Amino acid sequence: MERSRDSKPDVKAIASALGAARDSADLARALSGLDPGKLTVNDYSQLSRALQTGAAPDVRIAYLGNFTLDLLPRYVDVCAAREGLRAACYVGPFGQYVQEVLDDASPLVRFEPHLVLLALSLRLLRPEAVSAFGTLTAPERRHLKDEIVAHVESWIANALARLPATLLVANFPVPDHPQAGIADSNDEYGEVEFHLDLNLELLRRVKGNPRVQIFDADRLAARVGKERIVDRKMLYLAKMEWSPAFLPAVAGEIVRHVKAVRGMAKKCIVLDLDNTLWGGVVGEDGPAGVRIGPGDPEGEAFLDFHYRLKALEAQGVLLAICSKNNPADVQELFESRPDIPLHLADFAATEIGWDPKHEGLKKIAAALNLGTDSLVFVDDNPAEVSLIHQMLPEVKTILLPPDPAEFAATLERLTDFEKVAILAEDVRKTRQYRENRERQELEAATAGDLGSYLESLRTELTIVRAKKDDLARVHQLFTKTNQFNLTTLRYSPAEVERFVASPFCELWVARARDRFGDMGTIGAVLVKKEPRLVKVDSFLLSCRAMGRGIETALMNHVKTRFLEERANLEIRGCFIPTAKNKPVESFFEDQGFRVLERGDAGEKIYSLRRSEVQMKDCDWIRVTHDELVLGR
Amino acid sequence: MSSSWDVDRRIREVMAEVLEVDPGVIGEGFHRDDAPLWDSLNHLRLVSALEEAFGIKFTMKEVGEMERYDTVRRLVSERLAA
Repeated sequence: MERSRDSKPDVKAIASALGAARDSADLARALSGLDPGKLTVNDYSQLSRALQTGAAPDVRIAYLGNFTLDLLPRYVDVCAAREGLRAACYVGPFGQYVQEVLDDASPLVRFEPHLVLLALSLRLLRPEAVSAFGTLTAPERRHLKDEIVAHVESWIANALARLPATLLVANFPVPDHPQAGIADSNDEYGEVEFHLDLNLELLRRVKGNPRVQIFDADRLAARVGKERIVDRKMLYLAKMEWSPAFLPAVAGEIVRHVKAVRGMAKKCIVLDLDNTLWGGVVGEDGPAGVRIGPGDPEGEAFLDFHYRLKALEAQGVLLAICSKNNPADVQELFESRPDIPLHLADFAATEIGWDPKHEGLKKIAAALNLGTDSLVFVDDNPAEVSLIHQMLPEVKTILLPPDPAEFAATLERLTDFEKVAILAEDVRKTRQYRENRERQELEAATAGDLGSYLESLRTELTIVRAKKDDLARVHQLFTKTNQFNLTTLRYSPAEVERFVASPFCELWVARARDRFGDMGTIGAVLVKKEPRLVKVDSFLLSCRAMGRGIETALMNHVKTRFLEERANLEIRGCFIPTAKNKPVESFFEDQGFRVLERGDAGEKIYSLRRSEVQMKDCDWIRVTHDELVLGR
Repeated sequence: MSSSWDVDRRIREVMAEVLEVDPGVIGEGFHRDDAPLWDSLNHLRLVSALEEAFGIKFTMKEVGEMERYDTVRRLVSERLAA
């Protein structure tokens, strides 16, 4: 009779593991393999309580709205911990979401949230939209929609002005039972149309601002089931518009946004071949015998899997192959089957051979200039997945389900590639890596003569002050650049926006192109100005632009820019070591800076005085400061 | 079906978890005033937790009546017997 309880996770054991967790890996490990769907309201509360250890939070989230949201943070705490993040919460006083963003000293402002959720209940905001909808005329309904949009928009404007946070604005679930029944679709501006229009207008109003995101409560509600998202009893007893049954999904979605805002996206998905990209074994069944493509049920499933991977590629996720196979067989298969959506050229790196797969993953990471922790490994073989899990625990592993029918769905549910927005750089990414491979081949061809290689690249660099249009890409560089990043300060979109506007900061971006193609925006320098000296706060370069002197050209620009003003006597720099930025530990020394101070953790403060400045040679790069040369 | 002893034990477990008290103190006469954390939000958590634990649903009226352990036990037993 207790069987159902026995199959439940051991919440007490997990809670004590969470309480003892020292770092983010401990947090994630304590919750790995836990099915959030099996947890009760109480389990979430217990686990959330275990997480309140006084350790510094990784992310501060504020919850505002006009209904009871008090239970939600507990769910978010647990979902965030699954991703290795400690969340701190602030729940605004009931219904005071407007006052909270109008007062410069409100508790919300003092909480300094990274993320703010605004969740409004339509029935509490404008009761007539629910109670009397049928009696409203079409113009009254449209007017009501306009008023609600204006209300939310004015809240957004005030919140943006007072908070350095990303805003998540929940939309309104479209009713699953419109009052007019099926006649609603023939009603002029009916209830469903009203909701769809309201949500669409909100979406359009916030689109393009990287600091405001629509929290798609309607889509989420549809996934969970609209009949489950409201518990009427809780609604009437406690003004709880979102039922406890809805909260795990809400929390999961909030954490997706957190991951995107913090730039936690993985960069490359590494795939096995046999029984992963197609059904069967190419070495045994032959290129014509493997199942991929229309006409065969399994082939259709693999086809869908390919389409999903192509979509990831289009978002800037790199694809790679790590397979135990005869390279000639694989080559033959791809060449003889042009009907397969993915071609070899879609893969930024391939490791096909008989080496153990953890060696293959390391080679792929090295070839792409990535850390192994940026990889997601997908295989149908539990032994390979377990090997990677053991040898490279930092790699996210995905064991495909036994039936290929579920492969595409498995990819759809991944939240490891979440970004706030897909940028032009993302779309071009695979092409840029391919161009990089061509550059490496050229480098091999001109082996031994670095000078003539660099010359032959014909690199053109444009350095300009960052403008509003650059914010999204600059934020992405701040969050994603690991190797060529001297201080690894992860600024939020709001902070980046402030730097652009501040008279005490200069934020420069660098765009590059060469004979192989346009590399896009590949570098950023943030300089903070103080009386008589300037501080290089951040200096970062995308890994694919490293090793050709672009960093020198950028630093020459900084030197020229600041020492042409007589008031600046000195440039200060700082290097903060991380697990990833060892390649640049002596960058400032190379550029002529003197070490001023050394910290206990290996950090170094540098100085370069006016009289000491020398430009370092990089005359194989053509530098311009003119927007028009490269265009956008 | 669970014995009434199992049901009683489970109710005490759930109440102890939600209200953060020792299960030993929960028994006949245990009242809302005896648990400092028994506020309105935790009251709803208690209701949800009991509903989840026993697969039952209380009415709003019953939720309002649940001020002491004895009432909770009576309402759970009634629901389970129904």
